[in-house]
Amino acid sequence: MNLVDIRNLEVQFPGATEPLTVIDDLSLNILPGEILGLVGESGCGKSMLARSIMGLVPSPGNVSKGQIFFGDLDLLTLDEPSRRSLRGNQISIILQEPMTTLNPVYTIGNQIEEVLKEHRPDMKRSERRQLVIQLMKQTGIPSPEARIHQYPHELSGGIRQRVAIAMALVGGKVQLLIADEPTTALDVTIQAQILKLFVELQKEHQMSLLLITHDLGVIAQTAHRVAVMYAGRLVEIAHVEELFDNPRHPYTRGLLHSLPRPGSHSRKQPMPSIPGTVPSPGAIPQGCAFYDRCGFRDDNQCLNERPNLEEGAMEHWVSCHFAAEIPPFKMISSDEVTP
Amino acid sequence: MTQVRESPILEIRDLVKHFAMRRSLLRRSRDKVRAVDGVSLQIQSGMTTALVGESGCGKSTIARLILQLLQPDSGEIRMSGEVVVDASKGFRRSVQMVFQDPFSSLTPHLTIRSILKEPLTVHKVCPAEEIQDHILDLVSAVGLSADMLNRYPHQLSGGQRQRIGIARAIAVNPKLIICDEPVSALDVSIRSQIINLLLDIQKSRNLAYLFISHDLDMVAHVSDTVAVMYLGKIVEQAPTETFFAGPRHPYSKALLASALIPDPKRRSENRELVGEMDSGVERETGCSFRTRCPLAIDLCATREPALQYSADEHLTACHRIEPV
Repeated sequence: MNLVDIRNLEVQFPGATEPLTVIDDLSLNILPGEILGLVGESGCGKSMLARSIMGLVPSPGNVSKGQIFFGDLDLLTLDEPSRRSLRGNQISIILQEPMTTLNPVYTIGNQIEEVLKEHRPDMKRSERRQLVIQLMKQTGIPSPEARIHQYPHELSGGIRQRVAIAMALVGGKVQLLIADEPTTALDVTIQAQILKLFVELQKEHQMSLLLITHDLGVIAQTAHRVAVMYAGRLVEIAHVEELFDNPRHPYTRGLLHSLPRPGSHSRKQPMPSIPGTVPSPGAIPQGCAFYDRCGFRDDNQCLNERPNLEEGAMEHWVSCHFAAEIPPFKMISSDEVTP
Repeated sequence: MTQVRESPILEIRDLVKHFAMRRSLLRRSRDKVRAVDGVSLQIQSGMTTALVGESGCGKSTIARLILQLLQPDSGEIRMSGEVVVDASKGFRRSVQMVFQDPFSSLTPHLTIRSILKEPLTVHKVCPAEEIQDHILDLVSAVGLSADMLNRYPHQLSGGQRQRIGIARAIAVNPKLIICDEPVSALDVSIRSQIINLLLDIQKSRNLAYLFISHDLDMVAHVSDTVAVMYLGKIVEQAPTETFFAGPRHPYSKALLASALIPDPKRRSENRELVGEMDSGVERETGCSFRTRCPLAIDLCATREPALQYSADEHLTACHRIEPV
């Protein structure tokens, strides 16, 4: 049974001549209690996917096709009051920059309490305070009794992100937590602390975590399964070890190759890289979206025919016409990414 | 006869920059942020020195001091052996900068042609009739085609913009380029393209780089020397290979341990360093890292460790490491 089941989702924005498709026929499931990593470059639609699940696609964009099931509920057919009661209660989101999530003119105690009031109107004020302090303890904020009186600007980035996490968990029944680049704005030593907190909370609350990031290190260290997006499409999905051992899609392979790894290629020598840039939403090739940059392409099929996401061994799904023919992945070779 | 070592392109000695804190509108507080607190560094011609550390450790302040955008409280900066006292045109020509964010570092209402023309005319790099040819050489040197020249920055992708930022920096034939997080705002698949470009022009133009970054894997790949900063001070400095083979300072070790290895088979459980970097305002005596340091002893609270050789070519500032 899936916690979330997204079927043939399409999100469009109005364009000059015709609508621009930012999420294109995307199907994806999230299992209960799993950490699903979602990787992709800026503009590939990963944040828009998160917003679609939250029901917060910004105007003038809209979900033009598809279904998103949360348990038995089809989120896209729910009315706004029912969606609102789900948000923050069973589905929560944490954004990249905690400074913009938090209101600068209220103390953090007030802000967490405000969310709590929304979810538990029956609670007494003193009880709410107690629960806020308890939540702050849970997210590892040192001396919460003193911190509740502080304003966001008085806190470090790491503590601010912990406050945002506490706010996301206020509902107490969160089943799906979406974290959109939650550690990108943080320093490396703090990033490690926050990721550890995520993994602990995920286990403790037995919730699912959709972890959106462009950092393959974050994915490798935390995710159970990984989905890779490119230009609005899902191109590959597999268990984390399988994906890093045996990436099948040329884009995923290119990404893994272009990581600097001490020892794998010598210092100051050219690094393997993917040529070209991501196509903009209006200029995606008719066939495979990765066509322009791919080292394995075929001028007929890949240019004209869009590949389907197909399942291979090990629950490994790939969307590539040549998935079966591409040789096994070797970390060191660089010839295949530079045509 | 000992061989005379070539004087470094850039040498900074005991550089200090403190910023006064303002507590309220009426009263100026005596608290200071010790952004850069006695830093010495050398960069040899054609080589790359990497400056590593967390945000707020003073790396960008060092960049601004070198560029003469800020005046140091004390200490000196020498370019090719000569003390820099103010930002003369000649100095500006020899030191250029590549910024982190290619979206805000290019003037939005100028075409790429005008952006590249500006440094050429200001510094009179070539006669007026050769400017157009020079601009063409620049765009091709950074791997772009000439049809980019009539476009505006917003029409370019992040990677293309960063290439223009690099073209603008090399336009005046500098000796040193300060690269402040040059790829961290770019997508993963573009980063290696830009790094390759930087390595390529370094070789062909014998450029020295001060490479400011928090990405240790990238630093390991591009640099010749690594300097690790913590709260305004360099705590460890060594040749890149020596450093990555065996970092000695507990902070450097913690930094390397908290880097997330992109390999799911090498998940580490207890990699994180406790606590956070202090603000740099209230600095008591002793080592500023001691509050987070697993090796701290009583001495660390009372005496500040000096940066000294703990091995051949390996400088560390820690009481727990034996000097040579």
